[in-house]
Amino acid sequence: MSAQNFSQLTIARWLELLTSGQARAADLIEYYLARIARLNPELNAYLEVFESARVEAKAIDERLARGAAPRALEGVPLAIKDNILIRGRVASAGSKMLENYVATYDATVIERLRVAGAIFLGRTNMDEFAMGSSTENSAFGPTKNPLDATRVAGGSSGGSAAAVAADLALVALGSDTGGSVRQPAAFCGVVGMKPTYGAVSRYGLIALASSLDQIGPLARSGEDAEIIFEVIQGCDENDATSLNVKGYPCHLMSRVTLDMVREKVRPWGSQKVKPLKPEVLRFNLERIKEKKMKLGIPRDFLKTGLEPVVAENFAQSLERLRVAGYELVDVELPMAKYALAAYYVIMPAEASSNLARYDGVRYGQFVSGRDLIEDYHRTRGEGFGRETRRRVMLGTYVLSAGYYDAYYSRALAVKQAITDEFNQVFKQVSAIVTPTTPTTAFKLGERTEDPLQMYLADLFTVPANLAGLPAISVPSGQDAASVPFGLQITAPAGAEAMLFEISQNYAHL
Amino acid sequence: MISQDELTQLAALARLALDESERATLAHDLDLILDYVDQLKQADFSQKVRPFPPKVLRLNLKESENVLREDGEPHPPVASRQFKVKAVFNN
Repeated sequence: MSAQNFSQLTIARWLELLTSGQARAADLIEYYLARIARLNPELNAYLEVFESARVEAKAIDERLARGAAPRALEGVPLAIKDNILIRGRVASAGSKMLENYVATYDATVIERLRVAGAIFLGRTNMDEFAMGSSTENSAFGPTKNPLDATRVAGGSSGGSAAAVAADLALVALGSDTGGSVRQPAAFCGVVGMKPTYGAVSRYGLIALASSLDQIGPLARSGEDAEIIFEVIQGCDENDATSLNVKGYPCHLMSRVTLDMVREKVRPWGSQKVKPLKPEVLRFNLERIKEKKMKLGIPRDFLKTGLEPVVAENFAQSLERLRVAGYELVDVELPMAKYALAAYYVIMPAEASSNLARYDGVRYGQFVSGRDLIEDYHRTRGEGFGRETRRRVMLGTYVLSAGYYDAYYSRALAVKQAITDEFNQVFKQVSAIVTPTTPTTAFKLGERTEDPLQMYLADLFTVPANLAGLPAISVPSGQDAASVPFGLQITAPAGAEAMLFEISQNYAHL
Repeated sequence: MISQDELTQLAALARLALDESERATLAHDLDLILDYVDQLKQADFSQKVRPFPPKVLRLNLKESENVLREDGEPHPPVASRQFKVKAVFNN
């Protein structure tokens, strides 16, 4: 195959090229490996590239040549965030603590992608243990924004977002605890989505905050993000917090086949596949008007810290949605202003608990001391970076006797109140729209000295994590210096289909 | 205000060695963050009726429940959940 132009590729277009014989899986892998070799040294999106992707691609080409039926993601190359376990590969979560940790099992999402025929190109850079909003907390250097090398790519899934934005992968996986998929997606001008809490298994995801974490796709289009979501989602026996639709047993493997992707049907339970009516899947102006879809804007909540250019871009996005036929309604989320505070109590608390296991005994780095306690102190003192140490200390503080009720119990009550408030608002509107972030991508080093300034980047993304709701960031334009803006849509729990429908309608206007 | 004593106590609980140069900035940073999260005290969330989430396409979510299996025989060992380790003993 001659040098193909694989830029502007989508999953559907790729499957078309592959199954019609116009391209080979090996060609696509060579394309990406060459681009990575050229661009990654500067961007630092990938921490490690898997040269074995060539071998997997070759196997796929041979498989198809023998007449095997193509699978849903045959030969689709993905970049995987460094905190998602791939058996036999290092998973360091961006930390020196796990620099040489080799995963002994595949995360469920990895198994599902593998079964669908996907290929993993490498592991991407991230803020250490997913703590951060810029990827500057990585123990292995920051990731630069592909659109402006003086700016951050966002975090904590900065590497994944940059990889997709710079066309170093077709799609990527990230993880989102307080906005870590959506915010870097907004900063890099790509689509990033966080599923409903429990929709995607966390088995094999190095945990940050177990009640908030979700794995989500990053892609250049809503359609591609949706396809990846459909493949990875679903109840998992290995994750007790994954959702089980009543009446349908939990299956380890996803049941998505290529036909499903072609016909865009959704797997629905274990036995039958219910095809959705075609008009649901296509851009349909009449249907929006007929359904009188209302989108809510929490104006009061958006008053804090919004950069003027972002406010202007948001107003333009709203106008586009109005022209498309959506009705825009002002809604009130008075508890949302406490979301960031509640998050920075609950997340460090859970993180301090989840990170207690890193003691150098069973895996990870080990620093020797005079006795066992000093082994722990020195291993953790040296293995953890500054932000990680800060959050572990904060978490320890809010959980300690005397402060537990003042901070942690109170934050949990606020979390519940925020969830209830969303449920109330969703009685009036189908989805809520906000800018994804209060500002565009900031400069490298700009917020590293002031932790609170860094935390404020998560202002609009954390509510969806606290309430367990699905949310997506879609590119909504660029400023005069080509720095991207992002629009965030939040839907009720389980309404990912609506999320994708609105975001695809918005994108195609 | 976090005192140096409290910082020492917390570090002991968290099993973290802090070096001297770090202590001052850490106390300052924690104070800043705790000041910010203190606003939770102002949140007014008096007991109201809890609304059910809207019924959507495929989920019938009510309250969360613990997912536990019955006490009984433990899961049998499964090959796919095991992996080989390097030999550490030579006898």
